[in-house]
Amino acid sequence: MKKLAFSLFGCLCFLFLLSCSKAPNNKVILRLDGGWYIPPAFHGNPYAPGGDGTHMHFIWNRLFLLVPATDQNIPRLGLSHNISSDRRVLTIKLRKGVLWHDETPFTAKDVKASILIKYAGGWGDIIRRIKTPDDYTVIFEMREQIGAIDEKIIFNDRIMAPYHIFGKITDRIEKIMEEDDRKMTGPQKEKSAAIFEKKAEIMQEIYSFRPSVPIGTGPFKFSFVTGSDFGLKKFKKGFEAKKISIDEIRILKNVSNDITWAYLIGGAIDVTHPATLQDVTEQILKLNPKTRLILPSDYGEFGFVFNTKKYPLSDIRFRKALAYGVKKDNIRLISYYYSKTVSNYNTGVLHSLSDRWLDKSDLDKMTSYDYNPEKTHQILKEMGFSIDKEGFYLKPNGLPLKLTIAGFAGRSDWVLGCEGLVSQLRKLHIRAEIKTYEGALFHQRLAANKFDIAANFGADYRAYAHPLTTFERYFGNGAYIKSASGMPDQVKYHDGTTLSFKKELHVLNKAREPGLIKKTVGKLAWAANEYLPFLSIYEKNLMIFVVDGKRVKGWPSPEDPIWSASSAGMESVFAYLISTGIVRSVKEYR
Amino acid sequence: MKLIDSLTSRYKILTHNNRAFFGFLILILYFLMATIGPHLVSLDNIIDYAGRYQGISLQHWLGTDYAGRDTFSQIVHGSTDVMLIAFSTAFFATFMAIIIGIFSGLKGGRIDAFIMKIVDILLTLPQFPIMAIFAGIFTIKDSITFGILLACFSWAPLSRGIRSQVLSIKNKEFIEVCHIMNMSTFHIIFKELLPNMIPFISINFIHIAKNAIIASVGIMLLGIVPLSVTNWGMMINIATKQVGAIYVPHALPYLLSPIFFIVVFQFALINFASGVEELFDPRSRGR
Amino acid sequence: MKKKYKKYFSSAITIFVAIIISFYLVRSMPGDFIHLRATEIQLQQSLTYETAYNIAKRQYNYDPSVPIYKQFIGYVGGLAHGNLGQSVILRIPVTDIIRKALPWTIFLCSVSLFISFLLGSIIGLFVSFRSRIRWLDSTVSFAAALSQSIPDFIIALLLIVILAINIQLFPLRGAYDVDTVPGFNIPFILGVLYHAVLPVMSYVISTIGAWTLTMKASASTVLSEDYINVAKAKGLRDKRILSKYIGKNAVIPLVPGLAISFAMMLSSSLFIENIFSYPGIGYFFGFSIGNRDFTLLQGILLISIVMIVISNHVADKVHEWLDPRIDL
Repeated sequence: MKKLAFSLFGCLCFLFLLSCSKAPNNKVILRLDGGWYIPPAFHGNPYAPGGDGTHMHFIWNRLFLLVPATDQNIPRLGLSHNISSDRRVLTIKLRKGVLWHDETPFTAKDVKASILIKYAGGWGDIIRRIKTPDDYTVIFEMREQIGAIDEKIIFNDRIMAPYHIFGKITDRIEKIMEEDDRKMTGPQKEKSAAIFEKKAEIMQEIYSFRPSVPIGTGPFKFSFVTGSDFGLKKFKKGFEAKKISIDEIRILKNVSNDITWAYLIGGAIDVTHPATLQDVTEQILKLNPKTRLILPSDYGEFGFVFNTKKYPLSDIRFRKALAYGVKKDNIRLISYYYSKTVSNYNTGVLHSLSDRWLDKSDLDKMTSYDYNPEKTHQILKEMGFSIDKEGFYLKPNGLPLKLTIAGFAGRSDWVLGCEGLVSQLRKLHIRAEIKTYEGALFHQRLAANKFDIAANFGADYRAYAHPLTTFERYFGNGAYIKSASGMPDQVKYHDGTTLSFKKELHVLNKAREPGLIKKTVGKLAWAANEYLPFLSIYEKNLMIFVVDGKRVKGWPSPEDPIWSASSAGMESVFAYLISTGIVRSVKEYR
Repeated sequence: MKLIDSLTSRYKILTHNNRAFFGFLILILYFLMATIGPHLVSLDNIIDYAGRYQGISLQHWLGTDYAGRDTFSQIVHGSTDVMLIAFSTAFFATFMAIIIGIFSGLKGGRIDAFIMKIVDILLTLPQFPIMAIFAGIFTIKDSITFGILLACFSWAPLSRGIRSQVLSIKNKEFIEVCHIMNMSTFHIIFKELLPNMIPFISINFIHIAKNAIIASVGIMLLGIVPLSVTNWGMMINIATKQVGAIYVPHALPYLLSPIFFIVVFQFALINFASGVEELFDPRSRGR
Repeated sequence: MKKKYKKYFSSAITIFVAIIISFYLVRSMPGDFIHLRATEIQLQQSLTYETAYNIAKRQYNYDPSVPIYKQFIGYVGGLAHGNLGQSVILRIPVTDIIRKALPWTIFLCSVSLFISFLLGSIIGLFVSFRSRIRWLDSTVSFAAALSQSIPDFIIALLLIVILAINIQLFPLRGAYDVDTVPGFNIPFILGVLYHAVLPVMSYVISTIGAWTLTMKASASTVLSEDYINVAKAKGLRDKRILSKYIGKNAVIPLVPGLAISFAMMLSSSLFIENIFSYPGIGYFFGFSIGNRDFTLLQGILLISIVMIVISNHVADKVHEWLDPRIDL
């Protein structure tokens, strides 16, 4: 017994000495957290599961970085862009002197290859042809007019397919694109199933491609990967390498928020973004004076989907009664303190961008669901609901009314939001309970309309800052919120005409005159507000914690519009800030 | 009369052993909390964000949680379900394990080998897919069914432990004597085998009961039963993973309360079990 | 000799039946991965669900409409050649994944289990032998209750916060020093041991209570046996009584539990491995469940089935060895 204890103690001492004797590292290493597939699952092909992860933001560049707050496109691999007056040709001029990590020059062919893979993956039926007249110009010829966000999707795409690696495959995709074009313009306008099959076959090949090391044009290149750490080192021949004063990036495996908080409190990490409640946040900021909190909008609104296929939520009066009886801000505080309040409307137009898209005259036509529990009770009583002995509502048929709120197990802010809603419903004398489902089951339940109310995102603008993405989600054929809520394909408009969602979405996508765009947004927003497939609770902010002045300094102020680009992946913003030298080492650069 | 006599004598043993009595008292308190507690303490569901993490006071005996709700009333209201789940799981699992373990151990030979193969197969059943399939088909309304479900996954290891004990006791002299004296199997099991295994069984009963409290969280997260914020296991889970109570000093009462109640519950059970052992095992009474 | 072969044969049948059942269960799990992937594609690219589903189906080259028995025949055919199939999502052989990840899990879990079992049973044995010292018994019981009741994630978190963040004595995460070269060299091996301290500690602390209590209970049964009193009367030394008579007999009922704990470590290691970013099988187990990677999950379950059957077999052998009177 004693011997055992003694030898154990000896071992510990030895290990401790070992840890102290390590040589100090002179390199400037920036630490953040993220996810990737651990070896042996990891490989260097970003298109297949196993190759994607947080490292993508540092290894591959986009054409432009979209800044939704100012509607700007910051040049990355692309320098400038131009859309022809008939909106059928998009020309992008590329940066010169860019090298891939294997030191092959970057050219227009690489951009073409990347977009071709995106096309084979299912996006981009609008493209007729991609031309590369010279090494630094890419021309996209379109089959129809470029839609509201089509060019932004191309700008936002990471250029990940070097032609000298993917060329053989992408040349074949180009042939498919040509064939597709002949069929589309030919007599049979129907999309050919054969094309789909061919694309799928090629994608199979792409997914099976497993190089060991990722090759990009980004500021950092692959160094090593383990189960706990992903190491990236500065690409010395990168086009912005001179400005970069950080030698290495170390990505720590993101486990869960409670571990990330420990990292933050202990100063083991320089930048991270866990969704954090108010008191933990204040504690972190208090214990680490150098930590700052930046709260850019996520360009998405959290709230609840109503299942319009299930009684009583199938009755529009009931949905409205709930909208009147729920105090949004009480749910917001407990679910996500660092978020933005939203208005009493539920238009699907993001609150912080609502001035850009909605006029006061549009809002005047809509119901404002000001908090008014009296009205809720009045509506419920009109519908035939009554209150039982225990003080809770009974359905008109005399059976107890009980609503089930579906939550996503593991997304704690959603679950807390559900709790907030249950508390409010009980206050309204409505019985409610929460059921949480693990990821795969949650989506399946929503798609099969097996729920009453479910926590989710409604408005979802991403980096495009355009209402089209949200209205597609709400009303598009087979889209996420539409199939969950069970909204019909068309509804009655307030002037008595029929509002066909398919038609309006098409107008919104193709319209150019501001008047028509606003008018269409107004119509769709009206439908969202009056038919209530979704009750919006708050606009989510990202919570970015940066440690300024410990290992690195220069993080922009929270008001800087560059942060708004975070909604397309905040690590891309970090990569941009580092590679332009805005965020730099605290030490003078050698 | 004889029955009453034997009962009172057994009761005396229980009170005579201080530790067992102490455990017994605490268990009574838990029982009262679970039965009449919810009628005495009202559960306030209304969220009051400004009143969150209040300290311990006369008004809030254990402070308030992250939404300003009284922690003590949550503990009391949660206790009913927690006790029911813990005891029903432990009861059913132990029951199954005893029957199968003893039967298999006593019979021996081919029957034993066959039963143990089945137990092996049950042990290999992947829990998650079963639970997930379950989640798609059923919803559970009451805590006892919930307990039975959990018991299905916890009896197999114990039955193997009991069987191996039966195997080693079976060959001891006194059992052989019983066989020679032509005593009934019933007598052998209840008078000779079981009393010998009581300490082992009771400690496993306690383990299963405690594990059930923690395991109920996983089942809630799968949506088989509604999420209950008053379930002690869930409270610990929320306090650590969502609220981050470890990092916020004034949130500690919310994290520590459910842990405290589980620790004391278990400690009481362990102490009570020591008295139960003496009840069944006259030989250790004198020590 | 013949009996031995019979035993192997019946073990093989157990494994086969278990494989059939788990195969069926895994495939009938709700939420198939094509649906999951289709939802992802749909959310990313704003496509209709139908299109997304078709894309996903083609991506994985897996057709859920093939009857389960046909899938099973294919699977068993592969097994016969030692082939566990290819992970549907990761597209690498399942055997590769298991070969890389399993050693880490076995290392971590067997070390933890060994320490926890050894310390727990020594303490349990000692306390039960000295049960007249009331305060000792109570203190140990309380400590055991504490160790059991605090969930492992809190123990691990506290160890991280105190030992890795505040005192910075041990590394936060990972299995080895990333600056060393994996292989049979001293810096690497030392790094592995150093990195294993915290995960092992959290595992040991959260399980030691159970072993202590079980051992205490088991030993107290043995203590009441007559031969112990005889041994005491004969004037044998305490140490000899403890190790020779009590320890050996008291450990018998714990052996099956130990075997099952060892066999179950593939699934129970998930949590500790995850919190310390340990590159073991736990990560892939969680991944295959979360993403519904049927073949990978099936492969991991197969390993766990084989481990359970073998462990229980070994447990029976150990039991025979400890207690020669029984005949299994």
